[in-house]
Amino acid sequence: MTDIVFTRRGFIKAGALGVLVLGTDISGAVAQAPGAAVELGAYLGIAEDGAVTIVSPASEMGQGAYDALARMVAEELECAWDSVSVRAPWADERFRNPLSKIQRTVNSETISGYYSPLRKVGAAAREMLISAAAQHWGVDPAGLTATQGRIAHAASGRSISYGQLAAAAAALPVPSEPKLKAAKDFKLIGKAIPRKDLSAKVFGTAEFGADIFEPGMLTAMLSLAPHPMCKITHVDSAKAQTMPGVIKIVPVDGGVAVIADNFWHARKASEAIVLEYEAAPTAELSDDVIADRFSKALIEVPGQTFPETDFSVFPPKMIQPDRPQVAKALESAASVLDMTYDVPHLAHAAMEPLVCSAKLTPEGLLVRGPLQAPEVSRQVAADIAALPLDKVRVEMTFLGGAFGRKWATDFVRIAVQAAIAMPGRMVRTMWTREQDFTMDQFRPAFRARIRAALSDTGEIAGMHSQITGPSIWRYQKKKQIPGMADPSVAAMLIYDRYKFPNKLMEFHEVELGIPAGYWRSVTLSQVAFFAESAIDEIAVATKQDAYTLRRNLLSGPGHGRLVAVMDKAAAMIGWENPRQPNVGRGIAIAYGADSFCAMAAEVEVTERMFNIRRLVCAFDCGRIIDPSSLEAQISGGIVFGLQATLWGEVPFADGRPQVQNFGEFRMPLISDIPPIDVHLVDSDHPPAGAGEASTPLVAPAICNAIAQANGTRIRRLPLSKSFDI
Amino acid sequence: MAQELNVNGRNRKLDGDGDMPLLWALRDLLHLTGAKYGCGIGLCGACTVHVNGEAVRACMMQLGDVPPGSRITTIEGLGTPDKPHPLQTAWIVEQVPQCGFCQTGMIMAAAALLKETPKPSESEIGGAISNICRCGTYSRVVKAIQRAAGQLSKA
Ligand code: FES
Ligand code: FES
Repeated sequence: MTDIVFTRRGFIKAGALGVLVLGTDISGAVAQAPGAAVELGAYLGIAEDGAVTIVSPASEMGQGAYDALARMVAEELECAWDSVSVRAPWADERFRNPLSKIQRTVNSETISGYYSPLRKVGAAAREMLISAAAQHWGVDPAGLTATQGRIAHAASGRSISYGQLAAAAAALPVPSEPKLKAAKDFKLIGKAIPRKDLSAKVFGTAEFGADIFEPGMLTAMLSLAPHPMCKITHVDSAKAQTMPGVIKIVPVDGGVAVIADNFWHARKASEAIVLEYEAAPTAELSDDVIADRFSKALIEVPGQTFPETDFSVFPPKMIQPDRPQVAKALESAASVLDMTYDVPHLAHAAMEPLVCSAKLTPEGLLVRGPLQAPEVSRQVAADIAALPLDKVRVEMTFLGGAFGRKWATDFVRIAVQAAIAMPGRMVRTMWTREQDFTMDQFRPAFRARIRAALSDTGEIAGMHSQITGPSIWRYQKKKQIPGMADPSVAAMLIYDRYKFPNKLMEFHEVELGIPAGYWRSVTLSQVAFFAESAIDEIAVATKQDAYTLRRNLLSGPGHGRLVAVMDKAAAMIGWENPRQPNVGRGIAIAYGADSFCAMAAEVEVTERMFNIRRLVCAFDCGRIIDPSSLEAQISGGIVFGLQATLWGEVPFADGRPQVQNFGEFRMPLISDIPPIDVHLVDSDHPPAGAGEASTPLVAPAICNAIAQANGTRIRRLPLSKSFDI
Repeated sequence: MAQELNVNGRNRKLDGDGDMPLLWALRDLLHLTGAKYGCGIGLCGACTVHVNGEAVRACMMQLGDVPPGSRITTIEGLGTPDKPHPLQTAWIVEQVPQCGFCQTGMIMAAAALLKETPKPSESEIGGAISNICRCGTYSRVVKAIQRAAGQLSKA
């Protein structure tokens, strides 16, 4: 099969005739008014022999983006799936996600953002190929059909391959509103087909960040101060300079990079560096100090409110809280249930430690690595190298997991700083596992205090939910929304779909100075535990069934999909079945990124031990692109959540994270995994991202089950603080 | 120091420091990048290769300690798309990999297990394989091993 060669700008190499390359600024061009100029780029190439190359605009980090996005194109193109190969993306404005208007792979927005535009790319190419065939034979295009990479003319029995038509098709105007297939005619979307990236991953040929190689390549390892904001006052590199293989030692953000001929030489020399630095802004912090500051903040720091969304109307409407009413509800309540929950700092701990490579040549700067944020990385690299943007090329390797950490660009900055000191050489900057842990941008610790006003008949008359902790947006220097609490912390502090009056959600911000970042499921990773535990506590306090209470609170319009997954999860766990002594069942629900998820757990508790007998999950993310890949995302998200529930914690002492490696950040292993059942709900709703909503529900589902089993209410994660596990 | 080893069936001279971990000798000197660096201290298994038929965490074995002439098998030598190891075939059928970073080590650990225990039970698999997968592919790993061992009906 022909390997289509793309030039640095993404166009096919001049002279490679017989190739249709179609790609557009998919955020709009295909959908623009007829006659609007369409720039030919590089989403899709068809070679003379029929080989189809599709460039995935999104990064592949395990979630199946390459395959899912390529299938959207191929489905409409009507080519043989075997003829398709998928290419890794590079940073390019034309690859911007139409939802976020930026090229990045985050927020579960890949599937939803690219679904319609990528199908249009495939459909437009199909229509161009049909037009080319019609011209070639001098027949009416209406009599032509496209299947499996060929155009057929039924009337004459003739057929011709895409490859033979590609050159002619490329010269035709790009249709602005190509006709999309009906879902019932889908041959690829919705089917379980092994992903194309699996082969390279089982034969060891997949190229991850650290796997790039070219002759003359160098490796940089870092000696870093304990906090990225520490000011370096002195560097003693005398010993390191003389060590074998060392080529250069250069200052980078927060420390120095030791550039050597290989990893081992660079690592040994980096450990011989002695850094002196000013105290870190976090120098005084320990878990006790943090807990103290949280207690104070709940009282002393004015709360920023978070509005409630009313989903019973369409489009949903924002409701601002009415403080006096909420205060009145709490004052006049028959009883007030007062609950305080804590979650710790968490690390991302992708299996692939941070790594990024760069090479400066007279032509420009090349950056290669496992990146979630290619567009921002390109800007960052251009700024450091003082080059115009069009002289900077950023290419993605496979990502060995990311979970939000590789959205940051600190490791890209450092890699570029190291590389520009060695012009002409590719410099691969690798972080140790220990640096990956200690220099993480953590999911912050949070505390929530939730007070529910209950009537004497058990109704919820109001709820004041407060959360305290650092603002992720503040650390990430993202502009806050005026008059609204940081949504990455406070959104859905109590699910707004639960219908009861007088909700007040507030965020009491504490600036800790600890690097804070986005972690799989972001706000839900903390608030799902708070919100779904609190509802459960209310059910217990008012002697209601936890599932029935949720169902009652979700009556009314706009909640059908959420109720459906909850009903399914309850049925899967056998909610109504009799329970043995010491066995409990718990349920929890969440929605996020247009996905609806319900999880139920069954546990057995004896004293300080417990055993998770089963975890079940029902998931509705609209149209399913591939059920097997989707199930992998959801069950993988459950294992991720299980780690956080059982052991996940990065304690702080003397201002430093107390986790160095997997010894202190225990991971579940094969033998720790309980039976997990996932049920997928297929529907005609537009497809949505599925990588997040299952993760945060593991903790509340298990904790609610423990409460039912023996009455122990867990208000602090991880469970290893309360049980011997 | 030059160490002579048989790597994936070929005699190779590895010219590295005696204290260089075998993992880095394979990766940086021979450009066999299938074995991964995940933790560097023997905890994750991403670097698993076979030394004289036994699964070894290559980050923990110094080049100077590898007996001269040892047979090293890495994922690149276990099988190829044309001649896959049964585990590699099963791995694709069960669609195990997500990000894929841990998978080569996982497969090498599984291959060593199957040599010792051709038909492992689920708990034998759990007892023998302590590799970490952050993506959470564990239940498919178990299925794929049992499929390769002929314990699952064809599907
Ligand atoms: S890298 Fe060797 S065990 Fe983790
Ligand atoms: S597949 Fe990603 S770490 Fe295992």
